[in-house]
Amino acid sequence: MRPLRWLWRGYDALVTAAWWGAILCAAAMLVLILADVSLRILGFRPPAATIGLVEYSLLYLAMLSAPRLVREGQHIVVETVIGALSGWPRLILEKTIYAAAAATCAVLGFAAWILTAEKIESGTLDLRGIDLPSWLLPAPIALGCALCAIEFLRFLLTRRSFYTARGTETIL
Amino acid sequence: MSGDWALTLGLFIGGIVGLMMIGVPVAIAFLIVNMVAAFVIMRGFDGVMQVVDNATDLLTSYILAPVPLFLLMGALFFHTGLAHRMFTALDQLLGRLPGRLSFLTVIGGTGFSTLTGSSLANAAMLGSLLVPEMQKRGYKPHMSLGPILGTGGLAILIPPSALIVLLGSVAQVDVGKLLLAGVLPGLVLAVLYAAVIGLQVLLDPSAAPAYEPRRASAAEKLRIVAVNILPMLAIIVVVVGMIVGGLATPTESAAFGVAAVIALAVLYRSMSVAAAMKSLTSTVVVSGSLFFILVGSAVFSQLLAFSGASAGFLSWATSLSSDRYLLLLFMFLVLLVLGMFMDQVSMMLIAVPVLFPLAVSLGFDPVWFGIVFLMAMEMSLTTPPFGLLLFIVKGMAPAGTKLGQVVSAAFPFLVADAVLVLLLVLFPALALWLPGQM
Repeated sequence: MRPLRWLWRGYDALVTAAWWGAILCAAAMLVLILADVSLRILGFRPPAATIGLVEYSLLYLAMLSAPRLVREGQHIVVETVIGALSGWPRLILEKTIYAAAAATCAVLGFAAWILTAEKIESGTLDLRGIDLPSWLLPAPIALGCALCAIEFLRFLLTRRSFYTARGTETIL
Repeated sequence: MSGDWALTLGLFIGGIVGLMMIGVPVAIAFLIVNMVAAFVIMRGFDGVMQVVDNATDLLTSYILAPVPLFLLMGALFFHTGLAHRMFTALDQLLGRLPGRLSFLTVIGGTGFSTLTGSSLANAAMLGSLLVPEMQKRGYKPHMSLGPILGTGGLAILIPPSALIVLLGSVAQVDVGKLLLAGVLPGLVLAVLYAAVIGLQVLLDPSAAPAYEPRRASAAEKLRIVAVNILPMLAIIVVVVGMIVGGLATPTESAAFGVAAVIALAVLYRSMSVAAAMKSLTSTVVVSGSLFFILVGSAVFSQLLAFSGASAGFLSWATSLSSDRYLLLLFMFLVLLVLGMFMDQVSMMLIAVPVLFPLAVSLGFDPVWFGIVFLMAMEMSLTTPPFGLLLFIVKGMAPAGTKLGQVVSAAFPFLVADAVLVLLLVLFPALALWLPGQM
């Protein structure tokens, strides 16, 4: 049992670290843009990397936050039909949805892993003010989708419900 | 062949809407349909790889950066208590006026929406602050709930609006121009809402009984304006003024808006680590879920074009009538119907690739059409059976309030929305004048 427990703790730490990474991306975007404009106003030459880094932050924010949002049932959903069901019909529908969602995320994550591997092998660069290895683009999709697939699998295999997991308050 | 595009379009849109309706998370619904379609239309598994490639292209786009920044600005405004402070200040400025709390909803809501950019947050804030007070003062449900329903939706139109930035990036319309185009229609709409309330009070004074509020001296009022209103106005000037003056891009002005809210909160001694963390967390929750939907919809417009569905729909729609305004009405009704059944982001991602090319081919300005599109989204927020604001406001209404009462309270404000759409059609400059000054 102990190895399984360590595996679970490691996985949990990964999802939490990804979430904090997403928060860091949001904060970094703000700091980068403010620094860039302030430098320009003060007559200094702002770093050419700002736009590129902000663009990467947007992608990383989306993909690193996705697994935690699945875990907490925060992804946008229309609950009209499923909310009206109860008992077995609801359970069957929920489990079907979790299975389809896990499979979809797994396939997309797999495609993203292949792209990441191809780009690592080719050694190509993504040129946008800052030259970064181009595998950094599909890599967060691979990671985010793989973790989302596991989170949906957890809903499939346990008694937890995505539709009642909501914890954090949203403002939109 | 003529039926092929209709079948393809029907499968695409029907598939996404059908999956969403049974409770599949919106992003996953888009992903399932797009991945299956990409697999079928675009050379097997290479099509799925294309979904990944397009998603990285779509999300690593600088024009999307104002979305989290505007959301952060609104979240900070709430969590630091600045919103509450501004509202209290406005309340003290209004004298003895029949229906004053309803008017306060419109004035406060317009102010909130310029600073929060979130319709649902706007309605939630106004509702929690005002409904209990209006109930205590003997306001009838339509006088307390109606203005919240109407004004709540203003945040979609008045900048900074995260949805405007999303619309601009998805429809490939200049985000700065689109943000500015919403200013005047938003203000006109606020005036129309005030007129609706005035008319309702005139017809039935007992619906919103007048009462004697705490009196403030002229000096006290001046101090309230200087301390609690002007600094907030300054933030709006920072955000909108920098875009109009060409001093900053929407992204940069959004970042300065956030900095200005932080500075103001520090000055008022209401900035705390807890407020900052709450704001960052809610920003990541909302923008993360929005961006994940964008990942899912990455190849949607490309697949529609590749399959011939876009071109087929375009030639079919233009053959229906030579009257472009009749087609505009048709598009508006399509948007309203879509909005009755799904959230605003899904509606946008489904409708933009189909309707924007049609609007442009009919000679409509894309910025102007964007505002009409946003009006349809705003109206759909309060249109039964699934208008999200209806449910939020019902949740805050006095116990025993029926959904029918909430809907009938929204109706006069929906008429005001329709009047604004008519004004936009008659006087396109209402939306296009301000962006023309850029």
